[in-house]
Amino acid sequence: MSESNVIDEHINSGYDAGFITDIEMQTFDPGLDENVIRKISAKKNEPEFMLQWRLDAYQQWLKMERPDWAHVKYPEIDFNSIAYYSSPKSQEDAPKSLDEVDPELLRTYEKLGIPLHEQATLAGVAVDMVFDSVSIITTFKEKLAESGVIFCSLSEAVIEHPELIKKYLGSVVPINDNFYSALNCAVFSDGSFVYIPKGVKCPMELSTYFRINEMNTGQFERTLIIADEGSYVSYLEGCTAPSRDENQLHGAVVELVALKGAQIKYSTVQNWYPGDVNGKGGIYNFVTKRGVCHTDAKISWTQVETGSAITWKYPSVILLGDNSVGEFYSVALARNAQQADTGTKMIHLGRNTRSTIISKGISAGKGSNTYRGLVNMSPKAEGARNFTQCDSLLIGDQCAAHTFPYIVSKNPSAIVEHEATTSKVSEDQLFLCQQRGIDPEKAVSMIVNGFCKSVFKELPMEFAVEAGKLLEVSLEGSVG
Amino acid sequence: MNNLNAITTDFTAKQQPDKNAWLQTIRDAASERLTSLQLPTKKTEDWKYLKLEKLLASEPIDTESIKDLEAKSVNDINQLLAQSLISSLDAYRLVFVNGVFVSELSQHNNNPYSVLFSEASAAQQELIVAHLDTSHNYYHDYFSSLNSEQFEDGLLIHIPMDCHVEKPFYIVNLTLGEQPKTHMMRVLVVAETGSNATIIEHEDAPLKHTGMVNTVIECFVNDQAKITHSRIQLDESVTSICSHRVQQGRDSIYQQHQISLGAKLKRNDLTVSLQGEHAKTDIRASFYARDQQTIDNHTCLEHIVPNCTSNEVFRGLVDNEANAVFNGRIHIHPDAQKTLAELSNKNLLLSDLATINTKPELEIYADDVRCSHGATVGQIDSEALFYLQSRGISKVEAKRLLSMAFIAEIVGQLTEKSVQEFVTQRLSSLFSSLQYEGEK
Amino acid sequence: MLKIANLRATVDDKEILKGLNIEVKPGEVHAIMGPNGSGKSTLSNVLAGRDNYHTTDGTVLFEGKDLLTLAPEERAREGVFLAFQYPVEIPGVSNLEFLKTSLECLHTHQNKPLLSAVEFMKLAREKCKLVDLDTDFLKRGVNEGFSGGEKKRNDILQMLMLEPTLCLLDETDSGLDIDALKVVADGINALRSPDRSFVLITHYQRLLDYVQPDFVHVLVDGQIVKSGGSELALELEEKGYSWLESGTEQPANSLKA
Repeated sequence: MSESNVIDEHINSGYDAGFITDIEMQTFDPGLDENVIRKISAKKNEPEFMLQWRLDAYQQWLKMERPDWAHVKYPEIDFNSIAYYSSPKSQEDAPKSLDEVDPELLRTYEKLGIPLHEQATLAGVAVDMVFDSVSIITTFKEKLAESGVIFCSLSEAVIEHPELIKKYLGSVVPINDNFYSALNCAVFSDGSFVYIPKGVKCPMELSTYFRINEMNTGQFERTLIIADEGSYVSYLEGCTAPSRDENQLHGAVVELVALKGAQIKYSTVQNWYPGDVNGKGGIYNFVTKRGVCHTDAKISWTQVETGSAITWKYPSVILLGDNSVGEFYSVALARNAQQADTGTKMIHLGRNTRSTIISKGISAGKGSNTYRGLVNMSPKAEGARNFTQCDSLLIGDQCAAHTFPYIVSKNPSAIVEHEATTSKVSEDQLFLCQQRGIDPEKAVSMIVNGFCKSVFKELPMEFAVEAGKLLEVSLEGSVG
Repeated sequence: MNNLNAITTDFTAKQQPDKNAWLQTIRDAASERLTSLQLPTKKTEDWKYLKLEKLLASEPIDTESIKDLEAKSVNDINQLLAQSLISSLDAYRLVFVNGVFVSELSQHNNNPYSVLFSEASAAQQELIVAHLDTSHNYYHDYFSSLNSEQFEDGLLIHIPMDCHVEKPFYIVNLTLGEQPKTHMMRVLVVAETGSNATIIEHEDAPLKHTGMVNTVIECFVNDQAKITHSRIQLDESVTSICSHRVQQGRDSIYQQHQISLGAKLKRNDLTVSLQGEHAKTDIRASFYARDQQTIDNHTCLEHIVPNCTSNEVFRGLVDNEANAVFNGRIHIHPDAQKTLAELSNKNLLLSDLATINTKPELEIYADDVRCSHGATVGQIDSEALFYLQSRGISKVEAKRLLSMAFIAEIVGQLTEKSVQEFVTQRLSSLFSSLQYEGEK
Repeated sequence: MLKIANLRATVDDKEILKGLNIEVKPGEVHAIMGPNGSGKSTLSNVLAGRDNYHTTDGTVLFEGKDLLTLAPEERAREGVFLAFQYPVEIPGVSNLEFLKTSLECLHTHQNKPLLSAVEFMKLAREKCKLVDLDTDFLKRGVNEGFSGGEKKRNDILQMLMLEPTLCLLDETDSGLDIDALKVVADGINALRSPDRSFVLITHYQRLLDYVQPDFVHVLVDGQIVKSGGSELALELEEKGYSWLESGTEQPANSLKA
């Protein structure tokens, strides 16, 4: 089989998570105005401060312009054709335990490979399930509470922990940060909230699984993680959606706060529906993720992006405190007609701050993959260091790979190093594998996995395997 | 905004009536483009780091020096200017002062290859019209369009087929006196198939007078031709914007060596489009910016056809409160398989208040290519500094030596020995005149 | 075992092999020598099935099967092994992972039981020792950052692991220092057996100091122009190839010289 045939076969494979859950939903009519925002807020029984915050964001959003600088193309979005709230009817009274959750919903998660019963879950992983606009259930809450860790839906946190919300929500990504984050501030529905108390090492992995199910809805979730002084948490999010012909908007905001000496490890396996071979359907994934590191703190972003029709996200770290560390490890795959414009911003403000960026972009089919990053050494970033490595792998002659790194240095003692390369799966590599008896399908996925290895090793163990598999599934039909 | 308006007025003020009416179509096309092009602002991606307002911020006028000059005879002035030329260079010397050709300073006997547009024969006019502004396939910018609309005269260098010109062309543009208007410098190089020539461009301001220059250089390197191009920009007092476009044919070679000093504002755009297979491009550049200078370098390599090679090395040294920009783009078009493209940008920040913005870009639409870029920002190697100090050299002197060495690597690659020596001498006298912190 | 008859092959429409005949019987070691550009590497690439090498005529029978109709990985699974002139790097894919995948593919095809992880590791460690490679090499990416000699030894390690029936070695000796050359030769000698054959493609005779060939063939301009025993290699070392290149353009001149 010739190389191009092998690759064609790989990139035309299916999407496993594309089924639809048939369940009675309660969905707002499409459209966006102040009333809709009031209704969302009322649904969640939010305190007045939250409603005012949303309305303020809405007013600011109305004055903002849609950003057009990313290397992606898509038709104008009609924000009045989207429904901003959708939740399963059965969630009207928030279930207190798994036994009260609609079995159809549980089946959905089982089908996605996420068993929810605590005894059946991966050892040591607590999961928050977000289905369209609401959090279904959060597991291991009690166990976590024993060590003082708060892990719950954001809606719950607004009511139960208003002091933390008031202090930190919007503190890292301000309301008017950008067009999509402002929209999120106005209409965000649910998401996860994590607080790790001083000196606590979170006893298990925390995880949120996002599922979009309903048609014509947008998912605007919001995650806030606060790691108090000297604490540690590893958090992972996963996401999928049904295969539909319409594009759906996902506009999330994630804020991380790592206080003095704290460490947050945030991993994402993003597998939103990517659309079909011709680019029909798929999720528009327009996401703002940012963390702030205080003195001696560390934030590490790891992402495996295989889904979405369009990805527009730049998980960033503001290195505010001295000696703080920011890391960004990314694998982004763009196949079929997918477009990804992703990267990071490392803003070095403190002395001796360190950042590492490893980005692996894979373009196949008619996919277009862009790394866009900023490394900024401010005048006060005495002794700061950055190392960036961006590698692109091209598979097939119709794809595209771009690298746009912005480097700004205003401090002579700061050192920035950036390297980028572009390569393809070479015929020689393929031939060596074949000459050792390995068939071309397996060889390609082996080589691609090898290319991504330095990122996969940053994922929590269970998910590293999953990510590798996801990539294989995305690249080829079957894996031996 | 007033300053910006002033720039526009200044740049767009119609200059004297045109003798070269045969260029009218080109000028009209430029005027037409200008109706839709805007003066770049901070929001224009390619110009975001440049404070264009700086262009017209008034500078103290050296009236003494100008009075002095006005009192001198033309001969005396020419003698004065001659001192700033690389006299030992055996070349076809073409000297322009404020954009006007000065025959007395030039040496162009037996030079059948170059001609001023205003003196072009019918055949040469035809050649000029056929080439001028056609290298702008990829984008037209505001300033080069202004140049096309308004340049008074231009220089054509035409190397016939298979002709190897032994002597280099030495093009000098000197800025002199306080100038109320912007000079438009225009150069067109057409190297026919199989030809070979060396061009040395030297921009200088011998009396450190201020001025503004808008330069457009177009260079057509046809199949199997080779052009070696050195650019020496030593005019620190002059605000300059230069657009330089190169188009290469099959198996052609284009080499550029560039040494630039900063200025109140200096902008260099270089676009090379590789349009014939197996063409090779080699760019080695170094810049030094100090005080409140700004230097903004943009390069773009357009790989359009398969099997071409490009290699680019850019080194920047930024001192005091200077602001330097390097933006290097490699664009691989869908057909350009088997491209090899490399870019390296290294920068040293010498002071706490200096800023560097660097953005190496890859834009790739073909899979079977090998492209890489690297960029670093750092300071002078402390080990090396210490080593020199341990040999009794003062820290300040050591810093000076190492800064010099950082640029010297590129200077050493200039093809003409006399040019190397001239640049080295100019740089060392510049560096030794600088006062560093802690130095009395 | 291997029967090549009237093999003609082109690369980029240029004919490189011009009617080549060789027969290799089980247990035999054949050396194919020849000047640069004579078609040595083309032969090994044609036998291994690399793209861009097109056979225009002739047959290649391997244990009675038509080798030319098989995909490269099928040839490997049948027991044809090529040690590369320039082993390629595969960053991020560990040697261990690579060897294990390869061995499993071969064993599955050959209906052999698969090795357990422990057995596999034991075998790999053992073979590493034979080629004087530290076992740390197993964890590194395939040839990633290896020196020239390490790459060649890594190829021999693969050969020892996969135990092929026909080993083609394409200029494996080039660029090796004397110690590495001995290691490579030891690897080959360790595998010599009555049912395994070797084709050593080489420019120089020095590998043959350590691996005694049964037959030596001289390849010039796409054809075998002379065959003999191991003494032929010594003769070539002494006289060079020019005396055999008669029939090419300028025989008279080269004789005078």
